[in-house]
Amino acid sequence: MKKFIGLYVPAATLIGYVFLFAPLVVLVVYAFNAGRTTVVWEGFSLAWFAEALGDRGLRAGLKVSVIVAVAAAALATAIGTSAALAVVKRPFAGKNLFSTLMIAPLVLPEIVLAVGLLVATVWTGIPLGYGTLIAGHVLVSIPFSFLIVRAAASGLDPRLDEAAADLGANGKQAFLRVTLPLLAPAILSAFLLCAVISFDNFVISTFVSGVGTTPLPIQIYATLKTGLTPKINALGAMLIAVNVLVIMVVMGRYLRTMRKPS
Amino acid sequence: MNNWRILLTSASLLALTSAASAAELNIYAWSGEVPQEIVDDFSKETGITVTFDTYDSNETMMAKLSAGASGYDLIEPSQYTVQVLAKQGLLQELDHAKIPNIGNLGAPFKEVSYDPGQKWSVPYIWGTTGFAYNEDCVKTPPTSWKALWDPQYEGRIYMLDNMLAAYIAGLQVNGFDAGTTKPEEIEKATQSLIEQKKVLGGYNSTNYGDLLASGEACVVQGWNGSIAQVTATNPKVKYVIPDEGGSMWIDGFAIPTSAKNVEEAYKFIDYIMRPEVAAKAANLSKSATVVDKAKAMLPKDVAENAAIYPPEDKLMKADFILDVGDATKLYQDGWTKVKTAQ
Repeated sequence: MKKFIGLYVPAATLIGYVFLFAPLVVLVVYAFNAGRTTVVWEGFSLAWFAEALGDRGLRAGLKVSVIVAVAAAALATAIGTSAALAVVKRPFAGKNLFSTLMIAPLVLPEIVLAVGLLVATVWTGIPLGYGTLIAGHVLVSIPFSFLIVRAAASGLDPRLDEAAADLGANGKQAFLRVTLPLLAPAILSAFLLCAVISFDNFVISTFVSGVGTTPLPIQIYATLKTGLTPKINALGAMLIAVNVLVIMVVMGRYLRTMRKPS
Repeated sequence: MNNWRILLTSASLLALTSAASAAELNIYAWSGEVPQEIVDDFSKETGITVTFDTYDSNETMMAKLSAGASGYDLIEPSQYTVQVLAKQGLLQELDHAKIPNIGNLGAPFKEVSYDPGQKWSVPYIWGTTGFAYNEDCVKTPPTSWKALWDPQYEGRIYMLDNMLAAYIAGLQVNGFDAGTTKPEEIEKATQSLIEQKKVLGGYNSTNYGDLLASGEACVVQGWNGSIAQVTATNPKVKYVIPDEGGSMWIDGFAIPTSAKNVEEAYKFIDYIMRPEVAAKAANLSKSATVVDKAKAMLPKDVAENAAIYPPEDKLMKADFILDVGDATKLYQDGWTKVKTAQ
């Protein structure tokens, strides 16, 4: 029995990793396939990377997705952070109701939000495009930035604020020089998470994308009708590479700051 | 002060002139049916800036259009979608005087049942829904939908993951018309499709061509275009329009009521009806053109590919999927039953 338990942990870990990464490995491997299928290996080639980079539709979709992700993540993080600080630091009536409403988009079915948003934009006559896409993505990512920053803010020692005030800092100075730097890692992770959520979003985008603003996931989905080629794999492989690079840069900086004090 | 005024005036003049000369066209079309090169050529020749968005199904496009002003000037609906959109008042009646090349349409396409005389739409490309098999696995060439129910290929049969397509097979294998509205016929087809699940490897409308080429699948239901992509590299894959009829589809261009750049939309329709343009588009997208003169310009491997241009006698028997009206609900309920059956 003891032996079984001893084996269980590494085995479960291994199975977990295989489950998580096997599809990604297969995807990346077939990006280098010479043939046009994603099932049979026909030799090594880089041709699909050239195809993916040369596809104007995919490039346009990528551009839209990046613009929307950055804008939506910045807005959602700013709103989420302000709301989180208000909830943690200030007493006000209806605080619990306010907190619940902030995370409501998390429990509401996304399709309902999407239809509602579409109806609202049509009713107000706002043209579908970047504006509606960003608004929709902000809506679904606010709960995440709010929850992350609230968790970090409630872990802050309230005496730090008092100490800052004691040393002559006004509210603004205390916020900019004490609270904000302490929350920076949480705000950065909230931003990154919101950006990823926006980049992945499909349901909201389907309803509120407009002329010339088809985001990448929808662009890829539309190509499925004519069949999957390794072009999509090549694109996926490049996106994974960019992600890994970003994580390495962020982690590298984090590790360096960790080492500095010692 | 004066300098500023001159600067401002010239700047606004510049803005005005550039706005006037930059003609625009917003196209919303099926992915993979209008090659990028065709759009580029059109822009180069006319100076019209084209914004090109794609969709994966008629339903996606209809959702955008019925929500209100979508911003699109030209759309590419399939036959039954033309009927639905026209009924809802979402399409403009076409002015044939602005499409001189409309005369290039092949005779059968001029009198299509869903839109006789091209009141709402101009056909662009067409294709069929049938099935395909791999010779390595299937020894005697099948000619009937029954091949998709054959227990000897158990686990290696794939159906399109598409309600209308699945019902073409389900209805025709029972000897019914593929566009039926009779509840009892739809019910019978539903039973057949549930029965079929025992031998099915799965539903797939994305890479079924690859599964067939690799030998993982023996028989797959499919659209001719996707199969044509595979037959080019693997001659063992054969496309069949079943004896029961199969079905034919046509995607064409139409102008939504809410379109703003109507003149540009007409220019594009007229451009794509030119024989040499139609031939280039058909060759690049490996699909069948509606322009007779264009067919003669195609290279042999496209013009004589049975997966693209099936034999004419077979084509005469193919059903046309039209708007089934209120019966849509019967299909949807049946399809839910099929997908959830064990």
